[in-house]
Amino acid sequence: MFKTMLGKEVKQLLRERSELLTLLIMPVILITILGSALQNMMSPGSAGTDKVTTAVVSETSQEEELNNFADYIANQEIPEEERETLIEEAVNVSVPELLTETLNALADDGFLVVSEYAGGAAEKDNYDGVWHFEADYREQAWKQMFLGEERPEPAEVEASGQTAVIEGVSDAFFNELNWQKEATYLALAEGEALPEPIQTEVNVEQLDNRSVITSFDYYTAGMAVMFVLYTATFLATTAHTERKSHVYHRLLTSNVPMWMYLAGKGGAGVLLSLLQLSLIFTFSSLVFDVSFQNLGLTAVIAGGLALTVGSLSMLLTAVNYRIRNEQASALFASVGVTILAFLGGSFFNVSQLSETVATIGRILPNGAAMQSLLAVMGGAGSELIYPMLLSIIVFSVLFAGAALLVFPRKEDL
Amino acid sequence: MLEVIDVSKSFKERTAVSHVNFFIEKGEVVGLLGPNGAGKSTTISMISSLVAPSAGEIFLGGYSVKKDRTSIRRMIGVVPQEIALFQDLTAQENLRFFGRAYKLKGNELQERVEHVLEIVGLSERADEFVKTYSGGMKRRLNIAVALLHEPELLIMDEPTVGIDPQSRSYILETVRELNRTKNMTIIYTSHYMEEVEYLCDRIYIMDHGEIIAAGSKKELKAMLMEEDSVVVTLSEPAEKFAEKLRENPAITHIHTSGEEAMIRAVKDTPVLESVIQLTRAAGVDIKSVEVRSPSLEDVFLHLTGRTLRQ
Repeated sequence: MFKTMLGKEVKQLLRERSELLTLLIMPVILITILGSALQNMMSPGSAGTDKVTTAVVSETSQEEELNNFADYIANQEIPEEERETLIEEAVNVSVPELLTETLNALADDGFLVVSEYAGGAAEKDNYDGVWHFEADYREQAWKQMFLGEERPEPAEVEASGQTAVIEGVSDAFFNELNWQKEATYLALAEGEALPEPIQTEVNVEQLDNRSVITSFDYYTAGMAVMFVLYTATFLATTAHTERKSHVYHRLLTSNVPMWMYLAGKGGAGVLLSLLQLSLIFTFSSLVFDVSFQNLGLTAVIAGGLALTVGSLSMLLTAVNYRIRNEQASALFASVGVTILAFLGGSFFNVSQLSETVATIGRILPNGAAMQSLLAVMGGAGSELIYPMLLSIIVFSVLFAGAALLVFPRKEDL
Repeated sequence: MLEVIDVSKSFKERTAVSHVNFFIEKGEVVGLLGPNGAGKSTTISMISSLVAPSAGEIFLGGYSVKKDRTSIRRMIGVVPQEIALFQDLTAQENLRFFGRAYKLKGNELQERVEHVLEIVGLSERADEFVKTYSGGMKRRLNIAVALLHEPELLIMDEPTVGIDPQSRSYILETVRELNRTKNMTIIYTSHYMEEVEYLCDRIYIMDHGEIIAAGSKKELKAMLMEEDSVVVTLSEPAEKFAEKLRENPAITHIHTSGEEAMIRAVKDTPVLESVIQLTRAAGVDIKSVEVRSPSLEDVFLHLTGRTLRQ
């Protein structure tokens, strides 16, 4: 009977043109429009919803390099008084410290998180960006700044996520630093040649085999996790029609148990969601070159999300039956889906608005699935989808349990 | 075969069915007659095991509706008042779906589907979507679904509501044939007294949740054998004269509707004379006079003071 019910739901959906339009055509249209329109605004790496995590690594301490610099200038033909001034000034223009200060200012504004490593190494995988300063970077920079010697090798920046943000912060910092340096020279040493800027380009290194997330990737994930929710409302609405026309009564009198009916709705929710997600992903893959990197993990995410949609179908069906109208599914379709999609980040990265909102979004099954899809699209491993699996299991159990509790017994029908 | 013993059903404050008793023998066609809201559908729902009685017991073939729901459901086929079908599926798909719900499969399922389609005369249009059917065809398919598993008791709740006379006649003939050829026991509820009169061996009349009369057509009509029924059509609204007619002690009941007055009076009294005298005095013309034998409608009127459609 379960199989028969699944077959019936699939047939009904295929014959409902307006529903097909909502479930398949609308997401495809929105992926096309939003993906194209925001292609330039959404540069690689800016799709994530987490705070940017950064680390500044200096192989040696400032004090050690300051001593080395003092020793170096002691051997130069520089008057004692000027040597002391240079040492004092060097502390103020120590690049790793200035960068850390800049990053801390951004952290205070809530944009990122900064960690400092002096004389050690940061675990690259734990950060979106790591600025790495070689053992004598400060010393070389001071020599270039104060003595006009050769500029140091550019600091290495390793970006594993949020590439655009890391690149932008680096550019902004070094441009500002050079600009200030030039201004100082112009003010104090008029007539003298300007020293070369200390770092004119940022070497951004992609770690692992992670890919950048494009706007098409983002909206494929966003629209898929949003529109899959409408499958639940479709099923709950057909269930309401079945109650009204007494089809459900007819099933009961043919000895189909109540739980089988609900399970049929849940199973149909899983099956139809999987079909829907497969079609949307295939479309995006073929038309927009969206790459899912790991098909196995993508299938696990799609399966998990489909499971949640199945249990949500059961719950909406049960509520519709309990209140004897279709307001529950109608309200969910008009307001619920929009709220979930907003919190889950289907429209844009909500962490830009509020970290609390983003955290809530990541807990919700659609938000969790979206994060996992983006992570997989970016080449992440299976460990990143564990939180999503937890969210999906919890919500599926809650929805299904609530459905069984809410679904009215026969006399209430 | 079916025993309904002192059954009542209350929904919160409202009593839908009160102390109902009746029985049905195997092979009988029994009618439940009553106006809308009389409690017929609730009674049907209790027999179908969809609604549990608040009090009393129902036995079908020795099984209790309260305790042996699964066995009861195997024995009954229910034709609900609503079109309980999937509109987006074809007739064939609907029948196969419900057939599987009745645990039919393979050749047996296909044979039953073809057979019931033949019974209701829809074989030619089996592959068309239900939503394209006329009201009458939908009603016929509604019946076909209930026949799939060859039930011992067919329960039909107002199966002809809102359809054209031709379809109605087809359905009535189908019900008769099922009873005649398969000896199927049938409960037929309706507020169309002519349908119940045509089909049923015995009739239970319900009103306000109670059975107010029971018996065969003859027995019920015998209640009115001591009276004559006259229907007079006047050239003016009949209510004007009703009050004066009521003063005549031989007249037991008057029901007016527009220019028509239905008068019942003690048998062999000159009631028509009184009517003629009154109309002459008022200068009103009599358009027609019909003296008729009592119908179930008259019985209901006699019992409740209302018509079935009021």
